[in-house]
Amino acid sequence: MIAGPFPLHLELWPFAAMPPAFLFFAGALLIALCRAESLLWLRQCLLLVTPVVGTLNLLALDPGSSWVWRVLDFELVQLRVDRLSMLFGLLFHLGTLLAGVYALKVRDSYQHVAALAYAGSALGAVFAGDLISLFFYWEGMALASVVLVWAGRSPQSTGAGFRYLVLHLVSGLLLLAGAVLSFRATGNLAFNFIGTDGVAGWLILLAFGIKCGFPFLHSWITDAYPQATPSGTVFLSMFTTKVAVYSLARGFPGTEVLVTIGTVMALFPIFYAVIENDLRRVLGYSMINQIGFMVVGVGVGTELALNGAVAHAFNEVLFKGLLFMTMGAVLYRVGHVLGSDLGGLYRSMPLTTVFCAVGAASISAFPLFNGFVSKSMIMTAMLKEGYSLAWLGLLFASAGVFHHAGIKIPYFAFFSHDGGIAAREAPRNMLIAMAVAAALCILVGSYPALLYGLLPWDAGYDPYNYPKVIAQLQLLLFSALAFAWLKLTGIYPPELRSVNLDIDWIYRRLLPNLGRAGLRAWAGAGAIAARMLPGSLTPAMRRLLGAGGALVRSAETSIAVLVVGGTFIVYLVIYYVWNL
Amino acid sequence: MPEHGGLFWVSKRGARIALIGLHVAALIAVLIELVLPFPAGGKAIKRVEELDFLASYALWGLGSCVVLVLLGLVLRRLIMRDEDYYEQRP
Repeated sequence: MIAGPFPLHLELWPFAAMPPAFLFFAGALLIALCRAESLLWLRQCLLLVTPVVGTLNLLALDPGSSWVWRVLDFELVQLRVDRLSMLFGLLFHLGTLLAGVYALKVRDSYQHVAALAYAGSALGAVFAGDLISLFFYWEGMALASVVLVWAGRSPQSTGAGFRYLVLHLVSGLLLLAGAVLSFRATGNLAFNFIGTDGVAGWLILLAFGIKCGFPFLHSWITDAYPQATPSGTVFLSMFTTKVAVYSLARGFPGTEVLVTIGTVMALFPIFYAVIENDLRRVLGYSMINQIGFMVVGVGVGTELALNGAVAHAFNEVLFKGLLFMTMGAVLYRVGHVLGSDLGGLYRSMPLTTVFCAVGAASISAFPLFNGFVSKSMIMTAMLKEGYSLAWLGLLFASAGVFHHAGIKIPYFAFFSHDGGIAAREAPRNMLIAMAVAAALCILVGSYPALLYGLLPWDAGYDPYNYPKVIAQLQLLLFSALAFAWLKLTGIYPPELRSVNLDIDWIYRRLLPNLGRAGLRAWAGAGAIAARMLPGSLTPAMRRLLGAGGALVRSAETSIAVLVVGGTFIVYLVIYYVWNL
Repeated sequence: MPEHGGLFWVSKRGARIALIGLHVAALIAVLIELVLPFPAGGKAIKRVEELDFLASYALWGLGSCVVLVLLGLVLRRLIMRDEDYYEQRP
C-alpha cells in the first residue's frame, strides 16, 4: 500500500498543474525553433529552465488522477499522481538538470531537442495511468533516445542505433499486444498491478524486460551506450532503464520469477566487465548488474524490498550518471575510453579523477556513499524473506561491482601505466555537473533520511548499524586486496583492444550469415532449375522462372517495399471483408 | 618525492605505503569483528548457517574477486575477437 501524499509540496507554480511531460515537449519544441547558431544561448537557457520550471509544476501536483482524455471508448489518464510516480518524476527532473548542465556546450541542437523529448517521454510514462498512454510514451522514449545514439555520427553509432531502435520498437509492440489482450480479458486498461496470470501479463513483462535489460535482451545497453556522444550517454543512462524499473514496481511487485532474473542480471555482466576494454561499455555491463539488484527487489515485493528497489534506481541515476559523466569527459578530451590506451590522467584531469572516485565509491556501496543506503535495503529484505541463495549471489555480485566499477575504471583511466596523454581538465560546465552529482552521492549516503522520507512505502530502515557497516567494509577491503594481489602477481588480465562476443552476435553475425547462406542456396537452386527445366516450362512460366525471370532476379528495394506493402493492404482488406 | 612530479600515492613508494595501508585496514575490519562480535541475529550471514564464522564476509569478498578474475580469463579465451570483428565481412 503506497503511503500518503508526496511529502514535498510547493504552491509556487502560478498556473494550473499540468502533466510534466508537456512542459518538456514544449521545451523541446522551442529549442527546435531556435536552431540558428546565434541562438545557442537561448537553447542553453531552455535546456536549464525547462527542468527548473518543470520542478515547480511537479511539486504543485495533487495526488489522484487528472487530465483524463476520452478517446473512442478509452480513458487515457495523463496524470496519475502518487508517491511512486512523484519520486521518479522528481528524479527525472533532477537528472535532466544535471545532464543539461553537462551538455550545455553541445552545439548540436538535435541532441538538445532529443534530450528534452526523451526526458518528457520518460516523465509521461511514469505519470501515465493507463497502458495505452504508457505505450505512446514508451515508443516516444525509443524514438527520441535513438537520436542521441545516432548523434555519435559514426558508422558504428548508426548501426548500433538501428539495432537499438528495432529492439525498443519490439518492446513497444509487445506492450501494445499485452495491453490489448489485457483489455479483452478485463475490459480495463488501467496501469496497476498486472501479474503473470495470463498471456497479456507475460507479454507486458517481456516488454518491460527488454527495456530493463533482462538476460538475453540486454545487449542494446552495451551496444548503443558506448556509441553515443559523451552527453548523450549521460541522458541515456538516466531514463529508459529507470522507467522500466518503475513499470516493474508498478505492475509486477512480488513476482517471484523476477528474483531469479534479477540475480542472473546481477551476476553475468560482472564477468564481461572484467575483460571489457571500452570503459563506457564496462559501465553498460555495470548498469545491467545494478538493475539486477532492483529487479530482485521488485521480485521480493515486500515494502522494504520495493523501497530498496526504487531507492537504488534513484541512487543509480546519480552515481551511474556521475561515472558516465567522468568517462564522457575523458572521451571529450582524449577521444577514446579504451582502458588499454589510457592511464596517468590524474595529472591532467585531477578534478574528474576525484569525481570518478566518488562515483566508484558510491556504486561499490561504501558506507557514507549513496549506493550503500539503498543496496543494503534490498539485501536485508531478501534475507528477511528467506532468499538465501539469491542473497549469496548478490553478495558475490557486490564484490564484483567493486572490482570492475570501483577499482577497474578509476585505475585504468586515471592511474595504471602513464599513457603520456596530453589532455586538459574537463570543461567548466561538465565539472559543475559532476561536482553536484558527487555532492548528492555523498549527501544521500551520509544523510539517508533525505531519500527515505521520499520513498513510496512505509518501511522503517536504518542502514548504519555496526554489523552492516563492518560486514560491508570487510567485503570491499578484501575484494580490493584480491585485486592488488592478482595485479602484483600478473594474474590479472591485461586490457586488450578487442571485441567480446555477446548475445548480439546472434543478430549481428549468425542471422546475417544464415540469411546469406540461404540466399546463395536459393540462387543455386534457381540456377539448377533454370538449366534442368527450360524445355518443360511454358513461355509464361519461363518469363517468371527462367534466367532473368521476374521471380529469379533480385528486386530493387523500392519494388520490394511496394510488394510487401501491397501484400499487407490485401491482407487487411481480406481481414475486413471476412469480419463484416 | 614522487617520480615525474606526480601524485605521491602513484609513486612506487606511495603505492607500497597504500598497499600496506590496505592490508592494515582489512586486518582491522576483521579484528573489530573478533573483539566486538556481531550481536545475536545482527550478522546477516548468520541466516546462511554454513557461512556463519569469523570474517566470513572478508573471505567471501576475497574469494569472489579471485573467482571472478579467473573465470573472466577463461571467458576471454572463448569470446574475445579482433576489435574490428563486426566490421569484417565474413
